[in-house]
Formats: sequence, C-alpha cells, structure tokens
Amino acid sequence: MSPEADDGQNDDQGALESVDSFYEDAYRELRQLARARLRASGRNTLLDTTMLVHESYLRLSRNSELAFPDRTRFLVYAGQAMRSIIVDIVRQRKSERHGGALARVTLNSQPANGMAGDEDDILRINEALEQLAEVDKRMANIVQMRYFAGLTEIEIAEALGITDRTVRRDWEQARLFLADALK
Amino acid sequence: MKHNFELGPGDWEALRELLQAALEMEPENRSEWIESLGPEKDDFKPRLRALLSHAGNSSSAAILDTPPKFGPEPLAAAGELDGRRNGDLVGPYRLLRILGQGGMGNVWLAERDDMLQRRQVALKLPRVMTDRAQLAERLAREREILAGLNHPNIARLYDAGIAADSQPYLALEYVEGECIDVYCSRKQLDMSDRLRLFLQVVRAIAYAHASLVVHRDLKPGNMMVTDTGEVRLLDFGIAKLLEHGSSKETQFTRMTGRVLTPDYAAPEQISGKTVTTAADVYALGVVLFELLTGVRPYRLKRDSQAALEEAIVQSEVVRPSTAVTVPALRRRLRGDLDTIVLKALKKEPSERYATANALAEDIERYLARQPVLAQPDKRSYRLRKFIARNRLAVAAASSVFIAILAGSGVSIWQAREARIGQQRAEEVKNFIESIFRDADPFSSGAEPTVKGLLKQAEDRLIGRFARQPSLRVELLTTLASAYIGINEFESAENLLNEAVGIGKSELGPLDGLTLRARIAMTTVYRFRGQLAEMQAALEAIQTDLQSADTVFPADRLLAAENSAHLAIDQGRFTDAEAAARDAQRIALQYFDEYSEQAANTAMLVAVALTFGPNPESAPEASRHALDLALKVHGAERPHARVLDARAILGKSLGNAGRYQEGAVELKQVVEEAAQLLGPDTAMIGFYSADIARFLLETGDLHGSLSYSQRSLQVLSALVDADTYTLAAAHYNVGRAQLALRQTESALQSFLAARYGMTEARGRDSAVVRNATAHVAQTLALQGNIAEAESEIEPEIDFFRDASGLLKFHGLHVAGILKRISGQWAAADELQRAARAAISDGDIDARRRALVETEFLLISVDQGDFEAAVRRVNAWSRTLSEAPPVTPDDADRLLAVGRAYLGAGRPDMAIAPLRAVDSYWRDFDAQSHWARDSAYWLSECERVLEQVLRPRADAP
Repeated sequence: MSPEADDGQNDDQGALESVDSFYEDAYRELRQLARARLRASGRNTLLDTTMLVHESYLRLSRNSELAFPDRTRFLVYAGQAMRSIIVDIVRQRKSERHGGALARVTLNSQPANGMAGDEDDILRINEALEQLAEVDKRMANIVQMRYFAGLTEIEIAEALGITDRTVRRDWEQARLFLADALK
Repeated sequence: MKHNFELGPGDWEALRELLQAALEMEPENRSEWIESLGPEKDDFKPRLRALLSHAGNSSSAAILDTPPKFGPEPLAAAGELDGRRNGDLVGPYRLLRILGQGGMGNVWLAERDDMLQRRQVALKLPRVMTDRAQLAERLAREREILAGLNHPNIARLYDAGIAADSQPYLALEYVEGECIDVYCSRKQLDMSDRLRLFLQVVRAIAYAHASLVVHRDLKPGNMMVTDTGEVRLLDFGIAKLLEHGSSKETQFTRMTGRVLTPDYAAPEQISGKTVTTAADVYALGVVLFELLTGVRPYRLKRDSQAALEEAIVQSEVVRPSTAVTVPALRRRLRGDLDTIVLKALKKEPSERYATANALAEDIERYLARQPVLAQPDKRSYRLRKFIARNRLAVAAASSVFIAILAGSGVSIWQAREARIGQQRAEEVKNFIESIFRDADPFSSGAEPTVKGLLKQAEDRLIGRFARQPSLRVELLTTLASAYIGINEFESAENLLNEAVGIGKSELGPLDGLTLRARIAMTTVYRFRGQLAEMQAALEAIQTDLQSADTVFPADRLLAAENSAHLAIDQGRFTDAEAAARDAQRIALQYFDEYSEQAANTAMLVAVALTFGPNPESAPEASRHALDLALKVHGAERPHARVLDARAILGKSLGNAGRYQEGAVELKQVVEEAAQLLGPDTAMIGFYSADIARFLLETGDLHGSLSYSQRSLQVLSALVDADTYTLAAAHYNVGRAQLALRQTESALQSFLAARYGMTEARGRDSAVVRNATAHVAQTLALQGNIAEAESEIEPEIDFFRDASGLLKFHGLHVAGILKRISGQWAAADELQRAARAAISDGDIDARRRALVETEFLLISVDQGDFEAAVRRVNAWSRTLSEAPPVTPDDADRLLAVGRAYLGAGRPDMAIAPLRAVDSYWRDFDAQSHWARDSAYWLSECERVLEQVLRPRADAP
C-alpha cells in the first residue's frame, strides 16, 4: 500500500493500524534478535545494539507488507523499543539468577562472575533516564537512542530534526547528569 | 534513590546554560568561574561542581559510552530446564541436577538407572537439529573413536546415544573443578606455574592428535583443573559431532550465532575450510595468550561477532608483550614467549607448530631456559622465499609429513588395539621428529631437498632397531611411502623389499605392519606400470586381509584403491567399479564423510563408471565426486584434485552423450589448469582434445578445430613426434577439418596421424586402420574415388570383425564408396552393419544421422524416389527439417530435396534446397558443394515454374 493513496478517512485509519502492527512486528523482531544474540553468546556480552537495530530495520523493510514508516521514524522508535527490551531481559535474568543459585560447569563453563554488576547498571540508567525525561524529554530521548539503540549522532540528529551539534551538546550534559545520578 | 532532577522548568534551563558555559571553557578555569558567579546563582553552585566533577574520565559517565553489558545467561530455577526436571530419565540415565546450560544445550549430573554402573556422569543434552538416523550413526561412529581416548588428562566419554524422545545424549566423565583461566587467577599462579599447567593441556591434545582425534572447540571452558591441580580436557570430538548436519541451518545459525563460539576458532574454521590438528594448535595459542596476558589476542574496533570473525581471519595478532601494561610482565613476555605464542597463532595452518608436541617442547625449552625452536617473524620472509623457489618440493614435503603423521598414527592405534607396547609408538614418533628437527632448513646455509631429507632418514636407519622388527618395518614403510610421494620408486622399492622381508620372517605375513609394507609395494608396481606383479600381489593381499586381524584402515583403503586402479588400467571397468565402491565403503566407515579419502574414492567410482559399460550413470557419480572435492579442498582457488574431479565430470557427461555440458566443464578445467599449472601443460593438451571431440558432436566445428589445434600445439612441445599422443592430436585436428570440409588440410592431418600411429603401435593396429578409414573418406570427398577405394578395400574384413566406433567408421566409409560406384546392395548392407555397431542413445545421434543420409542417398541415386520419400517421412522433424548446422546436415537436407524433387514434389523440395543453398553461400561459396546445391535449387525452381506457369497462364 502506498501512502499517497491514503486519502480517505477509512484509509487513514487503516494506515494507522498497519503502522501500529508494524511497530508490533518491529518490537518482536528486535526482541528476538537481542535474545538470540545473548543466548548464542552464552558468555559475557556487549550487546551490539547498533547492529541489532540496523539489521532488524533491513529485515522489516524487506519483508513487511505493512505500511512502512520512514527510516528516521523507525530510529526514534527503535531507541524506545530497545530500551524496554533490554530492561525486560535484565529484569527477567535477575529473577532467574535469584531462583537458581547454581554454578555453571561444562558447555560454557565460564562461572557467572563480573558482569552481573553491569546488568544492575542498566537498570539504574533506566531509572535515572525516567527521571531525566520528566524535566527534559529531548535529552532523555537522545540518551535512549544513543545508549540503548547505539545510533550515531548524525542519525539521532536526523531523526529528531535537530543539528548534530545540538545532539552532541545535549549528550555531553546528559552524561554528567546521569553520572551524578548513578554515583 | 534521591530525585536528581528536582528543579522547576525555569531552573532547569538556567542550570543547563551555566553547565554549557562551564563545559566550553578550559577545565582548570571552571571552579574559579563558578566562585565568580553572583549570589543569585548560589543555589546552583554545589550542583554545578558535582556535575562537572564527572567531566573527563569519570567511571560513572563512562558506563554510558559502552553498549549495554550482559552477564552470561542465568541458569533456570533449580530442578527444571527445557521441560526436563530432576529425576527424569534420558536414555538409561536418571537426571540428578543441573550442572550448566548454554547455547549448545544443557548439562545434567546423572546416574545410570539400571544399577549396572553406579557411576555419576555429566550428561550432555545438546540441541541439535539434524536427521535422527544420520545422527545416530554418527554418534555410534564417534563413540567408538572417542572411547579409545584413554589419557589421564582427558575426560572420558562413556556413552552416547539417542533417547526415546529423540534427544541425543552424551555421557561424560563428571569432573569437579574449575576452568583453567579461573583457576589461574584464583590461585594467582605465576607465569612458570601457568606454563606448567598449560603443558598438561598441550600434552593431552598431542595424545589425542596421535590418535587422529581433533578437538575443534578448545577454550578455557573445556579445560578444567581439579583441586589437586590436574587438568581434565572436556568435549573431545563433540564439536564435530554437533557441527555436522547443522550446515543446512546456516540461515538459522547466522541469525542466532553459530554453534561454536568463535573466540578460540582458527581462521580456517571461520572461513569454513578443512579443519585439522592445526586448528587445535591455534586454539591452544589463543588460550596461552589469554593465560599469560589476561586478554584476548585481538584488538577489536567494534564489539560484535562479525568484527571478531573479521579480526581472526584478517588482522595481525598483537604480540603478547604489547598487550600488557605492567613493565615486569612485559619484559618477561618479550622474546621467546612472544615468539611461541605468535607461531601457534599463524593465520596459515602450515606455518603454525606442526604438532601440539612441538608446541609443548618449545614451552619446556623455555622453562628449562633453553633456546626455543620457533623463530621470530623475520624468518618467515626467508621461508616464503624458500617456498617460492621450491613450490613442488614443499608440496611433496607436506605429503611426506602426512605420511609420517599417518605412520605414527598407525603405531599408536595398534598399540591400543593389539596391545603392542606403547613404547614403539613413542620411538617411531621420536625418530621421525628427529629428522625434521635436524633438517631445519634455516640452520645451515643450504636448503635441503625433500629427497635429501629422506636420504638422511634412510641413512640413519641403517643398522638400527635390528632387535625391534616391528619398529624397523614400520619406519621402512613410512619412508618408502614418502619416497613414493616424490616419485622415487626405486628407493621405495628397496626399502619395501626389506620391510616385507623382515615382516614376513619376523612378524608373519599376516601381521598388520607386514601387510602395510606389502600394500605399499602395490603402489610402486602401479606407478611403474608393472600390472602383472601388481595383480598377483593384490590378489594375495586381498585373501590375507580377510584372515588378518590387525589392519589399519588407511592400509585397507589403499589396498582397495589400488585394486580399483589396477582394474581401470587393465580395462576391467566392472571390476573397477566394484573395487572402487569397496574403497568408498572403507573410506566412509573409517574417515569423515567430507574427508579427502571420501573424495578420492568417490572419484575412483566416477572414473570406473565413466569408462565402463554403463556411462549413463557416470555423470551423477562424477558430480558427487566433484562436490566432495570442492568441499574438501575449497572452491576459492584451483586445486589439482578439484580439476581432476571436474575433468572426470566433463568426460562422463561427454561419454553419456551430453556433449555440450561436458565441453562446458572441460573448458573450465582447461582455464583453471592454465591458472594453476601454466598454459602449456600436458593436462591442457589432453583436455583440449576432449573438448574438441565433444564440440564436434555438438556441431560447433570451428570451436572444435580451435581446441584441437591448441591441443596439438601444447602437446607437440611436450612429446616426441613419433608418439601415439601426438598422432592422436593430429587425428583430432583432422576430424575437425574433415567436418569443415577443409579436405586438403584434413588429408595432411590424417596422414600425419597415421604415420605417428604406425610408429607407435605398428601398421596393423586398430588406430592405424581407423586413420586409414578417415584418409579414405577425405579422398572420397575430394572426388578421388579410386584412391579412396584402394585405401579402404583391404581393410573391410578387419572392420567387420571390429566393434564400436572403429567398426562404424570403417564400414560407413566403405559403404559410401560402394554407393558412389553404384553397388547399391553392398552399400546398403555396409551401412546396416555400421548402424548396428552404434547405440540408440544421444551419444551416437550424429552418427545415426550420417547413416540415414546414406540410406536416403542409396535410394535417391538409384532413382527410387518413392522409397526415399517414405524414408524421409519416417524421420523426426529435426532430421528432415531443422536448418543445417554442419556440412553433414547440409548433405542430408540436399538429399531430402533431391528425393522430393525426384518424386515430383518440388513444392516439398524447395524449402530444404533453399536452406542448403544459403548454408553453403555462407559457409564456403566457392566449394563444389555450393555449386551442387545451387544447381539443385535452380532445378527445383525451374520445375516449380513449369508447374505454376500453365495455371498462371490459364484464362
């Protein structure tokens, strides 16, 4: 379906619905990819969110028969989606770890050390970001897109319709505010 | 958590402005500037100071600069995982508790339920997506091999199978301990202790390699250390078990990550090439790097699997000493340890330590403060030059090395199987390693040749091991095999004679080692062309193999392969096929389905079929052989084995009548052979001749001529003028010229061919008579009928008794001449006999068309046009109507036109006659065929005009 054809009321409604279901698809896609990556790696992992987002965009844009929002809108959405996916995964893992206090032996026998603290960091950043959003939505948005979705300053600037210099300035300040909140 | 952003909207803007101003000035001026702010900003000052303290390298701020970090996957809640819980049965095992989980599957502590063995095991339940039957078979085969690994530092594989619910399981020795890297850091081991611990690992790997088992997935997680400080290696061969069958799921693995973590994978594993013991040596290098420095050997630009894989395959490994910051540690690593680690981590498998033992020995030398054998990198420059200068010798040397590896494998295998002392295996290995050690090509100025190396080894054997006959027989045979590898058959034969002599008298003719020497001898016979000796020896060996109890699989395989070669060389293709299939069975039973052995035997089957009585089934077998060869040797660059396999495919297609496809394959062979071996090699000469032959059948006569000429040109530089090879090349050129009706040059070519064939095979040989038939045909086409008859007449009886193409050509040409001289009955009879000599398949399509033309011409020349038209009507449309591609086609259509014309059907004659006329105008307007066809066309037009005019003139 092409957007130019959507001029009637019903068509608008249809377009909105398909955009919604597009986002559902995107969310599912991103979550699956993220989980698969983490499961496949088994050991301590830096989640390559940049690759995740771009890969899922490509897959969706190739496969989706649904009305497809432009790339910039997708990127804004990806920041939000990745954030909630990552936070969900961390919360779930924490509860699982709590339940089973077992040592890891063979297969991937690396003992669970070190990185559990990093997962706590993710939750703390998430909380601080919620507070930041209350006073400065744009700044929070930038952090979300950069930290959780791994987007570049240029991509963020395009997606939000501001200059990359503004993005950089906001980011520098946000780092300080968040660092202060995390200390 | 305190609320960090409690500020009104206006305050927030003010705070941001102040912060921005501070950020834009030099850091050292900031605090002064804050103090200088007016009292109305007092509320902001503490906040500003706090925020600015995080500027620069604050660790809290840095968290945001890396992507989200995750720990390993958590274990599921106690007692349940993937639908299994404590107490469940998997096969004969009862699950006791979860030991671990990961991407590949889960591990449980389990116990056999039948009380036969109350042994606790680590029960691995891999997630495998593959065909159940295939997996079961593979599990059984691997279980047999792995159960033989009996080493104190290798965890045993007790059992493997598939449970009723299709879950494969592997029961392994349960090892309590921790991973080697964790152990080292917890115990805070110093470098020497780490090296000594690591030596246990390397020695255990060397043992496994000697038993021909490659681990394929070495990593710290598979190297456990017990609390008494003993190493236990886990998961031998399991990577291979899981890897197979998942190749189909590449899409899946690409999405979710491959089954194996790439962190310790060798470059050849990442790029999917053949994995050998060298991959384990590489993984050992990575682990050693990590144990010595605490970090991995690659510096990645990005953190992703793709970046890691790229780094493994492409980027240079950093020196361990540059990966650490502590100066004392850096000093200790610099020099020998750097060299040892980097040698294990070479991209090119052949540049790494040749064996795990060699790596172990260098570490031991380092610990004993002796000079290590590995050389720093600048030598690789010299090595490259050495290789560049001695390409062939180095290739041969690696075959020597393979022979030696196989050799030491034999002893160890036999030590286990036949309870022969372990000592002999060790001695074989030491002896062989000593040769390589002492022949270091860089220690003296002169570069050794492979032959020199072997001579050295042979000299060293003189008078040694007289009291250890098995050892002596084995070493003699190993050396002899190496000599065979470099075509030194006389030396090989001498050594083997001694080996067989000692073997028969001291060990008995049925002893495994004696048999080995006897089988190796048949290879010498084969390369020397002593087929009678080879046959006698192989027959005796095949009988003895049935009653011998200790035979190494590689020897059994070689015996079967040689039987197939013998049968092929003797032209017994049905026997050859049986022997080749036998060899293939042995290869699949004892080696990998994607092994070189499997590929080689598949190729033998293809060869036997291609030249055998049923060539129709050969293309499929050849395609399979080519696929295997590509899998084993890679498709990136030409490889001799792949070329051979593709050549057989091409030939088999051609022999099955699929000439076009065959020519395509062979053209690729010729192209790649030129890349691999240069443009003027015999291989190119032979395959160009085959291409010429096939193109002749497809009607691409100019292509055929050009390939036949190329073949002749290449071969005449390589072989003498009076050889059959060169004569055959002339003959091929002649056939293309004849088909193109270049009769003058065709005659010269056939005469040259006949001369060479007479020299090589004698004047009464079949090939000479065949050449004579072609000489006669050419003379006939030139109109020199008398001379043509005098050539063919004395040979007719010979051709009647011959068979196949020889019979066809001879009788067909004789028949043409009988027709021209008006002996219709004799002509008809000869063409019938010629037709009976060829098949009904695609392979003879062109020859059947030639015979049909003759039958038609016999009727036409007699003036029996009704019979002629009846014959044409019985033909397929291709035969009677398709536009002519070759002069032979044009002859046939001309005959069709004449038949219709004679039968009073000029309307039916006009189309074929026009086609023939225009064909000859294009092809050779000056020839007498062009004049003939122009004549018949004008005749037909004249008749048509007469038929039409009265009607047109009618009132």
